[in-house]
Formats: sequence, structure tokens, C-alpha cells
Amino acid sequence: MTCCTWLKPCLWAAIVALLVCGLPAWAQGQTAAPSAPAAATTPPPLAVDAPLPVSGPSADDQAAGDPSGTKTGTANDVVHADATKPLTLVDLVNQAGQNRIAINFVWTLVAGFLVMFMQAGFAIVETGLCRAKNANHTMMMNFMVYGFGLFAYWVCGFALQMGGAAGVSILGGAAPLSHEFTIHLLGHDWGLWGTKGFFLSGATYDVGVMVLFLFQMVFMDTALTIVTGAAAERWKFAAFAVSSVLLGAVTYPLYANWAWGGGWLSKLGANYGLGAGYADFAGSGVVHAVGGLTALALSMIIGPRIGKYNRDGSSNAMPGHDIVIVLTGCFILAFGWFGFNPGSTLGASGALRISTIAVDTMLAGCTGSFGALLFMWIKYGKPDASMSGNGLLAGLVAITAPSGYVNTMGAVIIGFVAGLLVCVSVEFVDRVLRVDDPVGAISVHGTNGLWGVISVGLFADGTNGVKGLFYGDPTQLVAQLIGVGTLLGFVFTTSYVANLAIHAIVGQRVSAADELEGLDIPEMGALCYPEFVLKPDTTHSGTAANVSAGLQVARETA
Amino acid sequence: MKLVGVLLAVFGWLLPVVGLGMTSSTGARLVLCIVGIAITLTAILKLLINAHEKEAVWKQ
Repeated sequence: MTCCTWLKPCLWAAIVALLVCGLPAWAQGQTAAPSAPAAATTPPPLAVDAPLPVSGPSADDQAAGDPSGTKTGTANDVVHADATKPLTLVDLVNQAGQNRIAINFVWTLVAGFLVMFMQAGFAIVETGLCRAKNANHTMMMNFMVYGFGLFAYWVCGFALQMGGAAGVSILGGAAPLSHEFTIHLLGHDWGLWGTKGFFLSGATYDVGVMVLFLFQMVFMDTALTIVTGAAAERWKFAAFAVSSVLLGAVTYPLYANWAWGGGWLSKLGANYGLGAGYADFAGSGVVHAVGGLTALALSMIIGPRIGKYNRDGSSNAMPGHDIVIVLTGCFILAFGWFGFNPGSTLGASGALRISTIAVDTMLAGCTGSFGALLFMWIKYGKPDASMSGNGLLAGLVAITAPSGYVNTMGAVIIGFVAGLLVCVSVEFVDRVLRVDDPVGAISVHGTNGLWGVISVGLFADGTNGVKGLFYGDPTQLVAQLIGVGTLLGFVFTTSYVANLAIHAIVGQRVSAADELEGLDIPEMGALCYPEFVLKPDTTHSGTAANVSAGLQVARETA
Repeated sequence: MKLVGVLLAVFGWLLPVVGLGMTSSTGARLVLCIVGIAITLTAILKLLINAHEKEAVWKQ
């Protein structure tokens, strides 16, 4: 019998064995009911003060050093309410809350520091656009406006603006800012000013309130510094001081309360169904239009520089003395605007839109400079440096209000329109209104501040709670126009009346002799450029009074 | 003339604000806003500017 003879029967036996054993097992797998799960046991609730079973690296471990960072920032770094006991759930939850608020504090403070640095940008832009004989005086106005404004704001401005603004949850609540003076009119409550926070005393000696104060103060100071540019080269330093204090103590805080401090403008949505109420994310209206319109009021009262206009009303150019510092100042301002707009979220934790806001800001500044550059190049045949700088600033001013509410396409359009608008406005103010504005502050901040407010009502796309006309909500535009009307009818008139009073009492303008000499010596007692000899140039046509100083490079050897 | 300009500017501001209580129509409110802003701008850019131009240094 060969192997093949018995192999075949073996194979058949194996097949039969598999069938006999496997079939029942397969059938059992198909038809057997799943066994019932073991009864689920609910873990007992964790007591909030029970010790958590976590620990960080040991002391010996940490003493060995941590080049990769895996042993730094662990359970050992969570603050214990009771240092003698182990970590609990309460400690962990408190630490999470503290971390969130700490992130937001740091973000808001650093953004505020950036905005403070914009004072340097404004100072050198304005000084560069003025004549050399007034450089010391112009720099000093921009330097001291920081101190004057800060003091006025600490005394009463902040309280009037934010005294009733409690509920800023992103910064821990700011609960001490708990009272807004309100009147009941036409069936609704109208918040007018706050009453908590004078001298930052009492309950407002609070860490959250301090963050809010610093951030709001630097915004207020931006509004004040705008005015110094429009009245430069003929404004008495003492009158500037009084005017700035009034603006920082009363006029600015009132409008800012109505927009940001819980006042009536912000409640137009709730009270009258006007969109989300007046929306001004970072202050095209509150800061820039307030500054620009006050600048207009002051320029009207103080009058133009000697030699600016001829008897027939035609105007003469009075170029600035240093374009280098003008454009450098514009860059400083553009950098500081990253604090101005993205910082207005007042936090980063829970406010990740800061990235979009920053990009919108950049884009609008960029297209603003394009708009101005193209306008000047096409109309006058040359790209103009100072107007290009003003175009950048106009774009930044215009995007300030809508930056939290628009997409990048909206930002590009808003900025470009601002660049064109600033050129048209400068010519209108200079040649039609015959209002002298050495630096273009009225057009950059006033005109484009108003454009920024209006653009919220047009371009807001709804992703951050505000929707404009182009996205289906016309009521937001109505709220914005009421804000524009308030800027023109309240802020301008208040600033006008206040500065008229100062003019009547102490006089706003220097004497003609001082103005022709240059304000550095009569007002400041020292030249900005003592080693340069300033000589009058008579390149302008006109009368003997039509004299302006040029700059002649000369060195006097010792 | 300056006083008239100031009062007219304030009137232009208050017109749409008071109008909020008089009508709930968005269109009507929009018209009131535009009219009010036009009145204020006329007061500022015409009346007040002209009042100051009479005293301007280049006219002396």
C-alpha cells in the first residue's frame, strides 16, 4: 500500500472532523445571545476638596535641570489654596480662571503700551510737517499732552467715561465700576455719564479697573494729540494745556461713555431696534473723529498761519522741514495700531479674532497709502511722500471702527476709499473752507474717522455680532449715522464753545511777531536746531507779511 | 452768527435722535439722519466758517 493510498482516507477523515467540530461552534457564534454586561457602576462624585491623584516631578528630578521643558509647568505649579494640603479640584478650577484673566490682562496691557508708543509717532509726524523754527514747540505739545491728558483722565475723565461700565467679564468683571447716571426720556433710559472711579480711589483701586484705565487712557491721549497738529505753529502753549485738559476731562469721556461705557449710543439696538447699537470697535469715532473735529473747531477759532492765504483767498504751500521723520513716524503709528485695534478685544483668551483684526488693520493701512499715492501721482504727476504717509494713516483711522466686524475684502475697500478721501478732504479744507491745517489732522482723523463709523454700517459682515447694509441689516447704518450726527452736533459744538471761551479769556493765538520769529524761542526759550541758521525765504508771492522760514544748512564753528 | 451756527448744529444732531421716538420705520429714520447731518454740516461749514473768515488775518 503506497502513501497515496492511505492519504486520501486521512484527508477525508480530517474534513469530516472539522465539519463535526466547527459547525456547532460557528452556529453558536451566529445564534448565541450576547451575554448581559456586568451591571454598570457609577463612580462616586468627586468631592471638590478631595485630594487629586496627580503630582509633578520630584524636587530631585527638577534639580537635575530641564533642557526639554517637560518638567516645567506641571501640577507642582498649580497654586494650592492651602499649601499644607494636597492639590484639590477647587485649586485646579481657580487656576484655570486665574490663567484666563492673566492672559487677558497681559494682552490688554501690552496693547496699551503699543498705543502709548504711538505718541512718539504722532510727535515726529507733526514736527516733521511743520517748519523748523517751530519744531521744539510742536514736539513739546505732543510730549506734554501725555501728562496733561493722563492727569485729567485720572482726576475725572475715566470716571465719567467708564464709571458705569461694570461687566467687562474678559478682564474679570471690573465690578467696582458700578454706577451710570441715567435719565428716563421718551420711554427709555439714556445713560449719560459714569460716577465711579474718580482718582481711581475707593473700590476702584482694583486690578481689573487698573487694566481698563491704562488701556482707555492711551486711547484718550491719542484724541488729544491729534488736535496739536492742526493748531501747530501759532497755538499758545498755555492755551494748549487748558484746552487739552478740558478735552481729556469732559468732552472725550462723555462721548466715549455713550459709545463704550454703557451709555445711550450703545443702547440704540436694545432700545430702538437699531442693529447692535452704535458700534465703534476701536474708536474711529470715539478717538479719531473726536480729535479731528476738535481740531477743526480750534483751527477755525485760531485762524490760519500768517502767509498761508493771500488777499484773494488763494493758498500757499508751507512745506514741512523733515520728510524722513514724517514717514518714520507713520511706521511707528502703523506698528502701534496693532495695539489699537487688536487690543480692543481686551483679551486673547476667548477672543481669537485678534488675528483677523490685525490683518484687517494692516490691509487697510496698505490700501490707504495706495489710494493717496495714486491720487497724487495721477493729479500732480509725482507720488507725494507726505500725502502717502497721510494715506496710510487715513486707512488706519478708517479701519479702526470696523476692524472687529469686517472681512479682508471690506478692509481693503475701506482703506482704499480712505486714501482717496484724505486727498480730496485736504484740498477741500485748504482751498474751499480756507481752514489752515499744517499736518492734515482734520482730514486724516476727522473726515476718515467719520468714514470709519459709517463703514461699519455698510461692511460689517455679521461674524462678530454686527451686520451692515451690504449684509442685510440697514438698521445698523441708522445707528452709525446717529453716532456721526452726535460727533458733529455734540462733540464739535462742545469743543467749539469751550475753545471759544478759552480764546476770549486768555487768547489761543500767539502774537504776530512771535509767530513770524518761530515759536521755539518765544514760547519754549530754546531752538530745536540751535546749530542751524534759519533764514526767511521770500519764494512765496504776496505782501511783506508773507514770510516763512526755510532751512539753510550752515555750521558755525565754535 | 456764531451762536446761530452752534444752535443750528445742535438742532441737526437732535433731530434724528428725537425722531427715533416718533417713527419706527427704518427708511424714515435714515432720512431724518441724513437731513440732520446735512443741517449740522451746513451750520459748521457755512455759517461758522464764514463768521470766522470775516476776522481772518489774511483779510486784515
